[in-house]
Amino acid sequence: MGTILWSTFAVFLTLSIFSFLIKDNPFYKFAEHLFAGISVGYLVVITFTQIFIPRVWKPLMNSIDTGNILRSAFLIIGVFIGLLYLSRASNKYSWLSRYPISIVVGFGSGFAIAPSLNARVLKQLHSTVVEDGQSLLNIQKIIAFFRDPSFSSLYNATYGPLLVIGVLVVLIYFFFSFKNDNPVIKYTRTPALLYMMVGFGAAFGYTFMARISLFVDRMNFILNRWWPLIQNKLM
Amino acid sequence: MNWEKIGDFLLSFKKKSIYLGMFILVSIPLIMKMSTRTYITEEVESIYDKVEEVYEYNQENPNDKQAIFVSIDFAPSSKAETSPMLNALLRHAFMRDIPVLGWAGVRTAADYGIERLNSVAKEYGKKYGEDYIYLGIAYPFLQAVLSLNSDVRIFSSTDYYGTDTYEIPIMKQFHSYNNIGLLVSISSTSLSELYIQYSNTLFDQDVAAGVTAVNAARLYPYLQSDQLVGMMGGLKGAAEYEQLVNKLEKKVIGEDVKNYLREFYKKKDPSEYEKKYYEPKFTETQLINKMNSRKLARMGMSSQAVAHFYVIILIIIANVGYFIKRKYE
Amino acid sequence: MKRQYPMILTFVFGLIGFILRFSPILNEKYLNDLLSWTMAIAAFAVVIAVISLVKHHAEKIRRKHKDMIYSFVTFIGLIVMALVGILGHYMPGSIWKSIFDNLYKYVRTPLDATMFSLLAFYISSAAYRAFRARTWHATALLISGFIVMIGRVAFGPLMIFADITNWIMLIPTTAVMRAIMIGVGLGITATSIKIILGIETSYLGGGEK
Repeated sequence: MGTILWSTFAVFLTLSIFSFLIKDNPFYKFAEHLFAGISVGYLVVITFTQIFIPRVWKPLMNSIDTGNILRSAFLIIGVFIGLLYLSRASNKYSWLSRYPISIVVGFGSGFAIAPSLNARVLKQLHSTVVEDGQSLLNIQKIIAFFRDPSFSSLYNATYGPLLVIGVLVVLIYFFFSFKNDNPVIKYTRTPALLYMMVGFGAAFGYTFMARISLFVDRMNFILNRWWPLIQNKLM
Repeated sequence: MNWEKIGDFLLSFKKKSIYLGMFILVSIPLIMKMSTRTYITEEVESIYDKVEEVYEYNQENPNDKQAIFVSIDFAPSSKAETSPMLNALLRHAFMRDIPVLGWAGVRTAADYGIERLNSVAKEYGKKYGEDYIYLGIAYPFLQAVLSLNSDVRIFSSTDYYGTDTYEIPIMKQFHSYNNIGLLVSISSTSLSELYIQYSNTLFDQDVAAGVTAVNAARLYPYLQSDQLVGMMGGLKGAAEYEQLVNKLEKKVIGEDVKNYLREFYKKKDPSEYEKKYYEPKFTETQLINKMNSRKLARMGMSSQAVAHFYVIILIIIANVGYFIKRKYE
Repeated sequence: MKRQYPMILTFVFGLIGFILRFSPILNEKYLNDLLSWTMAIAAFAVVIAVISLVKHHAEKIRRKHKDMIYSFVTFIGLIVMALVGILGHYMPGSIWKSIFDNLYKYVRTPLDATMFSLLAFYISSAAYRAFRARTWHATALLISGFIVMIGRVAFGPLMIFADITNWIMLIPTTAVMRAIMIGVGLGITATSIKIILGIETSYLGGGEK
C-alpha cells in the first residue's frame, strides 16, 4: 500500500510540473518550491553523513587517537579554514570565505595545468597525426582505393585526410576569425564552416535525443510502473 | 490554389498543440510496450569487449584478479539515459564474477548509486564487501581521483555505510589503479572528461564513459585518440549495451531468466545474506520490474524514434510554409 | 587583508600544485597529506548552497511577498528532508530510513527528472518556430541534424542513415570537437596561469580591495 501512495504522489508531482506547459499555476509553484527545499535538504544530509563525518571528522579522530599531534594540528587548521565558508551567511564578513576559496582554487589550478594540457592539447594533436601507430595521411590507402574501388576502401582512403583537414581548417577559423586577406585564411573559411555546421548539426541531433529520453522516461513511469500498480489494486 | 493561405496554415501551429502531439505520440509505443532491436556501434561494443577481457584475465589469474570501477556521476534528472547503462554494465560485471567498486562522482547520486548496486547485486547473489563495495561520494573530486593512484582508503576512510574501509575484505586486494581493469564513468556532467584528464593521462588507467547524449558528441575525439576505451552515448548507447548483455545472459543463464530469478534464493540459506543490503527473495512485482529493467532502454527507443520523426516533420512543415510565404509575398 | 592575502595564498598553493605534479619524490611523500588537508577545507564549500537558499527565502518571507506561502513549502521540505535523512542514516532499518528513501525515490527524483524533461517540449516547439533553412549554413546544420536523428533510431530500410551517422560522428564531428577541445585546453591552461599569477581574480567575487 505504501508504494502505491508514494507512487501516486510522485505522479501527482510529475503532472504538476507538466501543468506548467499550459500555464504557470499553484500546483507547479508548489512542486517547484518543494523541489528546491528537498534538494537542498538532501544536500545537507549528504554533506553531513557522506562528506563531513567520513572525510573530515573520522580522519581527524584517527590521528588524535594514534597520538599524531602534528597531523592532528594540520587537519584542525584545515577544518578551521574550511569553516570560514560559513562567513557567507553574513554580509559584513563574507570576505573571509575568500581564504578557503583561494586555497582550493589555487591548488586545483596549479595541479590541473599539466594534465589538462596533456589530455586536451598534446594527445589530441598527436592523434591527429598518427592513429594506432600509422600515419593518418597514408598514401598506400589511397593507392589501395584505386586498385580496388569500393565503399569501404573509399572510406579508408579518405578517413585520415578528411579528419586532418577538418581539424586544421577549424583551428585556423577559430584562431584567425578576424577579417583577413591571407589566402590560407580566406580559402579555409568555407570548408571550416561546412565542417562546423555538420558537427554542430550532429550535436543538435544528440541534444534533441537527450531531451526526448527524459520525457519518455517520465511517461514510462506513469504508464508502465504506476498504472499497473493501480490496475492490480482495482482488480 | 491559394498558396499564401497554405503557407500561413503551415506556420500557424500553436505551441500547445505541438505539446499535445508529443504527449500522444510518445505514449503510444509505451502503452503497446513496443521494444525495438537496435544496431551495435563500435564505441559500445569495445566497452563490452573490454569487460569480457577482464573476465578472461580473471579466469586465467584467479589470484591476481582485476576489478571494474564504476563512477556514478549523474543526477537523478538524467537517469532516463544513464540508469539503463549502469544497469547493463553492472549486470555484465556481476554475471562474469568481476569485483565491482563504486562511488558517486556527484553528490545527488549518493543514494541512487547504492540503491542500484544493491538491487542489481541481488539478481546474482553478490555480497556487499566481498563482491562489491560502494565508497560514497568522491568529493572533493580531485583528491578522490588522485588517491586511487596509491590507496583509495586514504581518501575514503569509511564506505557508504560508515564501515572502516581497512576492515572490508574486498578493499584488501582492490584499492588502486593497479587492480582496476576498467574504470567506467557514467555521467551527465563533465566528470568523464576529468577521469580522462587524471586517471587516463596521469596513470594510464583504461577509462570508458557512459554519457548523456548532450555530452556524447563532445567526447568523440577521445575515442579516436584512444583516451577512451569506448563510449555509450544516450539512450541509444544504453540500448546497445543492454542488448549485448541480454544476449550474454541467455548464454550464461538460459532463456527463462524470470524463472531462474524466482528459484534463485529458494535453494540458498537466507542467513547468508545481510538484510541491510537486500532481502534475499523476489516478490512477483519485483520479478516483473526486474524483467522490465532488462528492456528499459530498448522500450524507450521506440518512443524515441516516434518523437524524432515527429519533430523532423514539424521542422519540414515549418520550412515548407516559410518558403511558400517567401515566394508569394 | 581582504583581497591581497587570498591572492598570495592562491599563488603559493598554485605553485605547490604545479610543482607536485612534476616532482615524483615530493609527490609521493606529501601529496596524500596535502590532499587530506585540502579535503578538510573543501568539504565545507557545500554550505554556500544552503546559505544562499535560506537567505533568498527568508528575505521573501520577511518582505511578505505574495508567494510567501511557497517559501514555507521550501523550508518545510528542507527541514524534513535534512532531519529524516540524518536520523535515517544513523538508524538503518528504522522508519526514518524508509521515509528518507521514499522521499528520495518518489519526491526528489521525479521532481528533478520532470523538471528537466520539460526541455523536450521547449526544444520541439523552438525547432518548429526558429529552424529555417535560410542560408547554406543553416541548411547543412539541419540536414546533418536530421540524418543523426534518424540514424540513431534507424532500423530496416533506414539503416543507410545509420552508416552516414557513424561517418558524421567519426569524421566531421570528431574534427570539429577536437579543434574546440584544443582551444579549450589552451584556454584552461592560460586561465590557470592567470589565476595563479593574480591576473584573473573573478573567483574571489566582487567587493572591497
